[in-house]
Amino acid sequence: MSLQVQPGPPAKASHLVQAQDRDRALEQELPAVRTAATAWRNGLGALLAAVVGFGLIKGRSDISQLASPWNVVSGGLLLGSLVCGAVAAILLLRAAHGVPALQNLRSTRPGATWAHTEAVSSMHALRCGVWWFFGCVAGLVVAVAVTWYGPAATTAQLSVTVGNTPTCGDVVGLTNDVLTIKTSTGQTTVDLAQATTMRIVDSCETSAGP
Amino acid sequence: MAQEQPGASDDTASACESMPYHETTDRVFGQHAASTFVASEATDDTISLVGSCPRCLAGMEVVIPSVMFLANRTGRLRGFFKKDDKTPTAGKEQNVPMICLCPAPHPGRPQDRKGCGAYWNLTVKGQT
Repeated sequence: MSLQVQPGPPAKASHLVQAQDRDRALEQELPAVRTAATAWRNGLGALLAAVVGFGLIKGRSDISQLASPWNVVSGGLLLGSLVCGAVAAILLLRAAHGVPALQNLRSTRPGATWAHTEAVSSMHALRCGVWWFFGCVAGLVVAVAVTWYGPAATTAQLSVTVGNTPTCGDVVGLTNDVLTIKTSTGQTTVDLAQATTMRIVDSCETSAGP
Repeated sequence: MAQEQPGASDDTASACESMPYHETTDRVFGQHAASTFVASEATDDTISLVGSCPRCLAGMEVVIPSVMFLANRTGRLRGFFKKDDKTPTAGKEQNVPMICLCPAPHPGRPQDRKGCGAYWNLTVKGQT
């Protein structure tokens, strides 16, 4: 499309103010976009740190403890979240700092038009980056929820401590206060009259502690 | 935002700098500018007008954007969920208020102003 330039209507003082405002806004546009993108980058980074920190507070942190296929679902969500986070980070950094590449001056002419085009591109990258970020957070939250509240891979086991010796495994039977437990090393009995603690655990490996 | 165009002679530059700042308009300004300014379309319906000021004759570039990020005037947050308003301007006629944007130090110019003070209107029409 070609553009034709013709004399316009007689100018008034309002046209002067309008043109001055437009020029001022254009001059501030790219630095304002960069500042806004930097602020969004910092704010969203802090939000992501808070979400990850909250995810580590309690609950399972190992998806291998989840029953199938929930472990696959959780793993897939975490992978999707990681991809979304990487895309969001690249877009937000592009919006805040520009593209780390040299420009060919045969095709790009630095100036007012370039500054406005760069501001529009940066704003587009910022908007897309924010959407990708929220996709990352949503994936992360759902993955943590599945990991926390998904069904366990194994049935609950019983840990009984007599003196300083804990015995952990699946309950086989109970006869005259004597508990029969199937441990990883074989079947054994525990006299409940001498037991000091008794608790149900998700897994004997994790309940053993350091 | 303006850029001085290359090729301007030293005489033109010194004549431009010696001209005092004065906010003024004249019907001739529009006619002169229409004959010297060349309009081209950049991305996103942004129009770039390159030519010389009809008063001080300094070369300059004027950008007419269709969309712009306005710092501190971003409106409500729901604007974030809206797509950019990119109403096509092809074939439309638009009035463009212009001011001189030359960076030459015109005597008497306030600090927050640019150019020599000349202002005028141009009409830009797209032809497919």
